[in-house]
Amino acid sequence: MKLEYIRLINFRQFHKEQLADFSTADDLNVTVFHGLNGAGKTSLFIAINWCLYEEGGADIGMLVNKKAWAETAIGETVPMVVTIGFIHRGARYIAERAVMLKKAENVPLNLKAEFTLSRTKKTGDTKPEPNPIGVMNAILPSNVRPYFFFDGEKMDDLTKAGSTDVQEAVRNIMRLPALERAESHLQQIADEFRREVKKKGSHELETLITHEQDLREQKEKALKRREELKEEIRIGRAQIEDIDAKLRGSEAAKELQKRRDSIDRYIQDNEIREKQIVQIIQKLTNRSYTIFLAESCKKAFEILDQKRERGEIPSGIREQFIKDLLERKICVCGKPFIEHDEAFEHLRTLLKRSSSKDIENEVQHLTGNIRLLSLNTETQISELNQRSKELAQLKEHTERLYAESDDIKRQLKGISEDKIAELEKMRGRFTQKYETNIAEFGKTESNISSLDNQLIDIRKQRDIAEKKEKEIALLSQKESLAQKAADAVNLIKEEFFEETRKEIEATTKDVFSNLAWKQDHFQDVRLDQDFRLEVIDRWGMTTRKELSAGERQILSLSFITAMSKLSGEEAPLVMDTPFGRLSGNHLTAVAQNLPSLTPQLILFVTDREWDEASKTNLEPRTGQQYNLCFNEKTGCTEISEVFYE
Amino acid sequence: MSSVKGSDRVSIEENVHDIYKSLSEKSAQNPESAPFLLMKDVFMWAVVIGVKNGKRRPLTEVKREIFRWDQFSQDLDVPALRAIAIAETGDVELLLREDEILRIAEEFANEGIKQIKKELLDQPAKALWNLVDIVRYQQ
Repeated sequence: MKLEYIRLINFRQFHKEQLADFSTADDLNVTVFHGLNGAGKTSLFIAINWCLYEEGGADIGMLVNKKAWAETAIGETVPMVVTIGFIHRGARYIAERAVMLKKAENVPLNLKAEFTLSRTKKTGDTKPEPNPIGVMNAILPSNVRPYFFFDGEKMDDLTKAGSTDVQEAVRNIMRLPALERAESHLQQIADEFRREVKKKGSHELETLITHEQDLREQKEKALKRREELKEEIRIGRAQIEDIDAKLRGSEAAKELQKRRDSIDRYIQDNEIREKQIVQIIQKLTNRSYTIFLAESCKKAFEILDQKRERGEIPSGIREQFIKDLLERKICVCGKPFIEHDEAFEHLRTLLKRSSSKDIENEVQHLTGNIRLLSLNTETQISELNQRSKELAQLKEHTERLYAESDDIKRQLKGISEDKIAELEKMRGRFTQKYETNIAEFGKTESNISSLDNQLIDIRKQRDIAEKKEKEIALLSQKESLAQKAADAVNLIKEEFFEETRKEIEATTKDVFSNLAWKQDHFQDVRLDQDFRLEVIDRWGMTTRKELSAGERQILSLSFITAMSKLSGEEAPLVMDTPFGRLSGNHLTAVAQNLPSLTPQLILFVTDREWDEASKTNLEPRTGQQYNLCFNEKTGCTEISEVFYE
Repeated sequence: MSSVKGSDRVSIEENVHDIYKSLSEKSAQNPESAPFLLMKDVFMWAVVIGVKNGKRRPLTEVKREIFRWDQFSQDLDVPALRAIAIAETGDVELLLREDEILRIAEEFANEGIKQIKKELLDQPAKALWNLVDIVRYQQ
């Protein structure tokens, strides 16, 4: 950034329009404004800061020119404008802060001026920037500005012990706040992911896997037991059949056993039949819900009838039939009609209604179906009653058969022949065992079925939990990445900070050794890790406290120019009262070196500062000089160019 | 029948799904405990019980789809549902709107299923015989 010109209108003591160009040539990069105390040097310095950054205008009284203000009538307006033209990276910019002040009784102190920034390309194309403040900050950040535009008299503040300004300056110049924001943002993201992982994480999946394992073991045992029972049942049946065969072979028990065989067959047949009837009853009950629909069907019928009566649903009148009547223009009663008469229109309406043919069909279909529903109900109920009765009879018969079978048992046990009684007792034991096994088999089957259902459920739960677990794993991964990124930014920041500190220290030392006349006395300049500037003398002692005001200013100037160099920003050094505290060798050294330390140097000097030494050393590099001439009569300053003789 | 507009899947509230399951699962092997052959049959019964009580309740909880419209029998279930819808709304145009017929049925079933549970599952006898009793009692 190099400043090209400044234009002031009614700003502070600059009445109406005042203009000054800044020298931008590489070999003539110095512009000097001369002025006595109170002539307007600081006002011009403030004008630059105010125009570009709206800084410096507070607490300095009226910004608007008092003469212009006084000359304006109440209700009239006064313009106050500062315009600065500058070049930045090949483009020309015009920055302007302007306000039209309407005169009232009170003096305007807190005025709000509008800032505009327009950019002219090399092609001459000029466009206003839509975000002027943002663009200005991108060209030279406002927090970096104080290290380029500064008051020389306040410069030695930087060397004071415990000054946080130095650290702040380094942070700003390095654009460290941006890195810190990135670090803080990444840290926040990592924390958020961590909280989420904590909230969602649980041992749910682990518990489910253990539970599933447990169920599988139970099922394994049940399957094994089922196979054992199958075998025991087979053996039991064989044992009973074996005894039955022996009984059948015995003369004394033969008849009874035959009868029992027959009863067993009956019982078996009955049980099969009972099952079939239960299934029939099941089907019948499933369809018997229509028993509750009598009311709804009746109501639906009534509604359909009403609609028909009102002609909302054509009753059997077919579309084609109406079309034929319309074509022949003869009514159903045989009377002819003409287009648009009453009969014609009536038939047209009927035809329109019959266009909802779907509805008509659906209604007719439904009407028939509802009738069938009622029939269905009657048939279903009748059959249900019949089957229920049949089932009851079958059950009763089966019970009688069981009683008869028990009676046979007793008779067989009562036979005096020992062998028969013994066989029957044994049969009784085998039967009991067989029936117990049958019951256990049924229970085991049901248990296996229940375990299968539980396993299906748990599989579903596992799928959900696994999905959740994956989400958690992904969150953990994100958390880890965010944390690593935050740590990496922190590390980069610290390393970058340290590296920059060393570079600033080396450059400050380099500049200081050129500017300080006691070069042999001052051996070193240090910027410690707490960013305290220190000067080491030839005896290796710290000497900052012993430095003169001029030496402190040189130290600060060295630091500022080091910062400007290392910031990577190309910007002018604009110094108000630059040599106020300097004299002799220091002044000469500064005047000699300063133009080479910056691309553009703009100085606001008093006559005392512009002595022979500064003039001799700076004038060869000076492209523009101005006098700030204060007119005591008007109380205003005029900027007048100094021409070389 | 016109095609179904919107979803042709029949929905119930998730929290009553277990009732539907208990009353129809493995019904072929165990008809006395699970008296309904299909979930569709549980649904039809729940609908008519809702109709009988004159109560409909919209599905507000998490929904679960249990079967498709195609499962309804054309000779019995569909005419029954249509008659219910017309009787309930008085609107014949509904005959062309299966989605609306279904919504009305779902709302009746949503109310009726509670009573089905009470009458069939919460009684001492097996569910099938409780169902037979309901039919006989109504008769």
